[in-house]
Amino acid sequence: MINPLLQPIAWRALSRRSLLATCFGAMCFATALATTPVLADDQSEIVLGALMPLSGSGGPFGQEMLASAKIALEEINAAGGPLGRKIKLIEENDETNPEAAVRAARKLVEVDKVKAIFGTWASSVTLAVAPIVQEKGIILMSNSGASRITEVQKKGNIYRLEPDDLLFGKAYAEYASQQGWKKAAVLGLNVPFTQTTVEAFKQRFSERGGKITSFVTYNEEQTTFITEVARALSDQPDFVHISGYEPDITAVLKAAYQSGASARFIVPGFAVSADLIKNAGPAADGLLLVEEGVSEDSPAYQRLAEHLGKDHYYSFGAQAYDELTLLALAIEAAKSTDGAALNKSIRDVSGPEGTKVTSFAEGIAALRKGERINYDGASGPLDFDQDGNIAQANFRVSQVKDGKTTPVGNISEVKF
Amino acid sequence: MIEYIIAISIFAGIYGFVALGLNIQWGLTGLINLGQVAFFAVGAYAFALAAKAGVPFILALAISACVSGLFGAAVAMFTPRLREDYLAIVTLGFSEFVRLILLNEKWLAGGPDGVAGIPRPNLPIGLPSELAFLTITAFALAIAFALTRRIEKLPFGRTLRAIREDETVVTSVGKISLSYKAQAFMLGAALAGIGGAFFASYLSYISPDMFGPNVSIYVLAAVLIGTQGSSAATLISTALVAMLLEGTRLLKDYITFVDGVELAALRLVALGVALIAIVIVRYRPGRI
Repeated sequence: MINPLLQPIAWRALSRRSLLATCFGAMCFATALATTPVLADDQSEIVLGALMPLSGSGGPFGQEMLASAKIALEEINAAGGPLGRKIKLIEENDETNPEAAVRAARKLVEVDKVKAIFGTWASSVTLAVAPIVQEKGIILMSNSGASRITEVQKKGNIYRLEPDDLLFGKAYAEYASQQGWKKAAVLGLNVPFTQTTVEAFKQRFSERGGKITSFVTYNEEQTTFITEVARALSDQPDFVHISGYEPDITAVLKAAYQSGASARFIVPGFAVSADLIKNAGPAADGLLLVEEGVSEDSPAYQRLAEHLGKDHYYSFGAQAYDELTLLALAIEAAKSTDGAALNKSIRDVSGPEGTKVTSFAEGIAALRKGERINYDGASGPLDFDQDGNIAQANFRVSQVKDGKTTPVGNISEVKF
Repeated sequence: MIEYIIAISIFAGIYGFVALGLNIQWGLTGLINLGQVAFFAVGAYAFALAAKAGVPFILALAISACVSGLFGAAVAMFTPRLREDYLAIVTLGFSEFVRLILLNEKWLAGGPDGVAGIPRPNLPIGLPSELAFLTITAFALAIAFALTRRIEKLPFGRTLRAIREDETVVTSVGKISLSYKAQAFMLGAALAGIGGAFFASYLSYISPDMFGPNVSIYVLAAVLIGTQGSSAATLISTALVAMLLEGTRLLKDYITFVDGVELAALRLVALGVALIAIVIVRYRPGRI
């Protein structure tokens, strides 16, 4: 015995043994789980995976999406389901975290043997899950907007129902030209998405006869925006487009308010939350937001709002509803659940050619008559370009007045 | 199913490196590091950037180990007087600092977009890619395990254990404890960096939001469940934590009264309860 503290102590050995026993028990349990027949093998049901952000920063949207998907599921199964088989939905939480999403996607693909996955919301999650679905040759329907996903989509299998950031840029330009505004100033946060949207905005705005009077970029950590705002307003533009996120947009609005200038600001809807409106106070009055739209008059959206309550605007919910409906129609059209076959038939059911249908029941009736169909869903006309992006999208414009947002207009069918 | 188990085993193996590293720092030397994810992230990014630049796998792995090892040594050198809670706070802060730099410095590694298209090693093993990756990970982990076992037995390891028990005694017999602590930190960080390299290579895509403090907590849980200072126990308990985190995902299909949202929360609750129970039972006064 040299030094007692350097010697292994008896309890350690003891507890190691009990630890091993615990491990063994846990492994037995896991094996038991693994060998129990999983329902997924049931041939009468088609298994699809809903991979959604049920917690984390996308949590509120994920829960809306899941509720919407379940409404679509009910409608599909009530109409008999594709190929006369019912659809079984397996939901997994991606935690708005790419790493958790990869594990969840693996589970969906390997354990549940899903035929397609839909509902990924964060762009980082879509990018992380993409290699898995491409390797397995199954379809992923995503609600992410980042333009760089297009690069990954070129390898196939990925469809996005959320308009690309580029379309956002064009939407601002279309709205401005609708309103007859000719002069625009742009304030842009120095990040990649701003470069894409601002470039798209500039191009479409000059096509529509508009003129950009100034384009000022700023950095996130700036404490004051007085110089930038003064520069933007010095040319008396009809409106100022700010491309950025919530904190910097709030600061810019405050700077403009404090300088006493009155100007019209247009900002992306995803950057504006109730907090911004509260924090900016009177500075946010009159602010215009552009957000991804839905087909509010479509029967599909009406049904969705009927179930979920009419007091809310379900843009991501509408997308999730359409994703599941499209997948079900594509399975019927392909007469198969094979990924490659589905990949071919998605565009056969999404249009733009074919008989216009607005629900799964209408769609399946038309398909069984041998017609080609064009599903126009709750979120929009849903036509995909060669990369699998929404080729034309609807946007909604709303305005902040006395701390409340009210819709003031729509921008429909914005194209690349 | 088997492929899913392979995927989970790969994740468990990756966390195994990180836990082995933490076991050297905390288990052997008694340095509480709540920011192990920082070295994991540094290793992942170093590997991603090197591998994307065309550096071969083994060399990129070595680079990521060296880079995160250097970061580890630096953290130890800047905190010579800190022990216990104070060191825990500094390391926790350091991990957030690393994550925020990765998030905001777009020129460095793409900022919030992360790095995509990170290559996997291609070895001439006639196995499916997932199984081949598991084989490589397990092989590397075995080497790391042998190495840490060796360190435990060497005079160096004994000195580390002595520092853990009483630093003054070590100093009084003429050892420079700062140098030992820096080396322990460096080794632990390098192991975490290797874990990060495998992580980046396996996912082929990394972004800063993967490196939140929860990774540090999972790994800390694994090391706490194991026996302090024992590499074997650390690896077993890492597998246990991975099983706890992933097994609950499978459980959901059999338990119908909780939905996905509640289960995600319950999973973390389970881990938290396990941690508290371990601390109460294992580390109660008089047991150490």
